[in-house]
Amino acid sequence: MSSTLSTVPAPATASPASASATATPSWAWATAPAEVRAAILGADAPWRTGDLLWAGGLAAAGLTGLALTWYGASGQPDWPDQLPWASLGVAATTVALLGLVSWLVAGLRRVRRLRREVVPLLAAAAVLRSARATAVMPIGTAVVAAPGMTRFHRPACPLAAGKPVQPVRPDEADGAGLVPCGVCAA
Amino acid sequence: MTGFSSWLRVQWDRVGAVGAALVGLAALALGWAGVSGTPHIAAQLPYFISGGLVALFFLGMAVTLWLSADLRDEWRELRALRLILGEAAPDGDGVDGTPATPVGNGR
Repeated sequence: MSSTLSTVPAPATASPASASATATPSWAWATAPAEVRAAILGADAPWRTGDLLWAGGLAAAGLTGLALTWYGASGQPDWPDQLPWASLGVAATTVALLGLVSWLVAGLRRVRRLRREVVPLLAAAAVLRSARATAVMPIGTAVVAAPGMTRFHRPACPLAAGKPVQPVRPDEADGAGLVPCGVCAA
Repeated sequence: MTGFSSWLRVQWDRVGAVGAALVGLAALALGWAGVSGTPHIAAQLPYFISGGLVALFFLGMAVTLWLSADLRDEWRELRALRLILGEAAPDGDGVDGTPATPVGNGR
């Protein structure tokens, strides 16, 4: 599938939730190397501590149930007496597999949420870059910026929408130390 | 050797998936050998539990590890893209007036 993507470098900034997850380690987790923790939980992965506890708890409960049912079944000399243990074993396996499924579902939900947020930004950036490539900007055409901003934008830039922006000339923006927006490529 | 160890560190979950699949297949084979080695149902059912059901769990774990590796890869790529787009608006001019904070940070 996407095995090559694992070489994508992790973003340098950790999210607040991941920071809190790594700031409050528990049990043997505290002794794991930081990169291992980040690869399973935190900024490098879509899972949180609660997901690990939930999935691991269900899997551990299921495996414990399996061990108990094996012990119970092997201690019975007659197979009719073993059948209830075998049924319990099937139930324990189901619980353990539910733990694994819960892990996948939690990751899938967060990845989907992140994708929903990133895809519109990518689409907007692609449209604006395409428009810039096809349109010639007349000399002296104004870009916009607002007080406190460190970048200037094209008037149609979605990152400037709803902001108290004022038209500025590109040379004025350069003189004020503003840098072009990376999305609209002003 | 260093390249192999770094590859192992990056791909630990896929390596774990292959390992879990091998353990599952071994449990399945051992369970089958145990069941086929006795005609008594009372002696076969423990093999069904320790071989068949445990094998089912480990094969499920293999699938889970492999798919979660794919999910993590996609997560990293999306975060990298989000970070690039977020750097375009470091002064709080994120889309829809929201600050350009990292996403995916919690439920």
